Amino acid sequence: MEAEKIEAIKSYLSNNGVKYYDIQAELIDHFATAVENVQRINPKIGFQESLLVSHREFGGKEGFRKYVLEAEFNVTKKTWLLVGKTLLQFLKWPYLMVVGLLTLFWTIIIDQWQAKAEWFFVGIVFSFLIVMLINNIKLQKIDMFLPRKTNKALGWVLYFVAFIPGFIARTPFESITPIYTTAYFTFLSLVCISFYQVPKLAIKETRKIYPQIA
Amino acid sequence: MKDNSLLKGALSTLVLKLLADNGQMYGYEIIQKIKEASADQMKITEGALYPALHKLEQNGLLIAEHRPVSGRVRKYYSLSAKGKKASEDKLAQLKEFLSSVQMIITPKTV
Repeated sequence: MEAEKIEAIKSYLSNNGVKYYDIQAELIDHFATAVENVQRINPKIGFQESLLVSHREFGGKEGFRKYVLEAEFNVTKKTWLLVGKTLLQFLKWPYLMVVGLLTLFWTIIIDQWQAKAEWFFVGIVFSFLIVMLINNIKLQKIDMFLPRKTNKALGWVLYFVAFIPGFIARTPFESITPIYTTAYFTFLSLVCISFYQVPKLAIKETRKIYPQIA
Repeated sequence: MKDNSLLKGALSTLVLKLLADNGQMYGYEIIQKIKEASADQMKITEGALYPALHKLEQNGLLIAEHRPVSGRVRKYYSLSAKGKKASEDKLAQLKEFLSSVQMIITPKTV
């Protein structure tokens, strides 16, 4: 099939809510093959009409909706696996050195300024937001769902590891044993570093499957 | 077949059986094969096949391979070792179920 027809299928899918390449890829082939098949059976039917016939056989808008829902659910699972994998890398050498350095850094900071721990916490949350913003800028022109999803996941992580514990504890940091504060801040810093890396890994992983993505 | 609910329950088993018989296949090919083998009696909504394929892949029953085909990428599915075992088990279960249904709908008269 000619490149412009493939492009027409891509835009048709995008206009019908199947936006990103990693979600579209299998459908592009499905519709290209279906269109070829419709035109082979009835050569008089034009490209646009055979595309509409193929869409109907796919289940129409509802067919797309179900496909996208399921595909996005799978990508979400993949996102969390990737996040987990990135975090687990810190348990291996040489990344353990980063954990050691961060622990040392926070031990010194907390030891010196335990009373100002709240401000450091605000600083970490701010770093999360900066990472989100940087990722967002980097991902603006990336036509892949997995990397975009990883950045959205950062929002949830920020909520679960930063806001919820703080909200539940409602305890000022100075009344908590410094070792817990140090461990918590080290963990938050590692999560923040991981999230800076995750979209890059997601892009690499998606390109490995679909090398033709520019 | 007008009532597709009967097919829905057996779809994964049929997919596994087709892949066991044909080796590697892609989505559209599986759909066509089901239609062809059932003499067009089984009309699956094409959109329903892909979630079933992805679920089988996630459960480790299928292995997917992406290959470029005339300007696009085609995803080929084949059975994993776990899938081969599951294909035999599920087919045996389906046959058992069908014979039970047969016994109910056409009871032997004594």
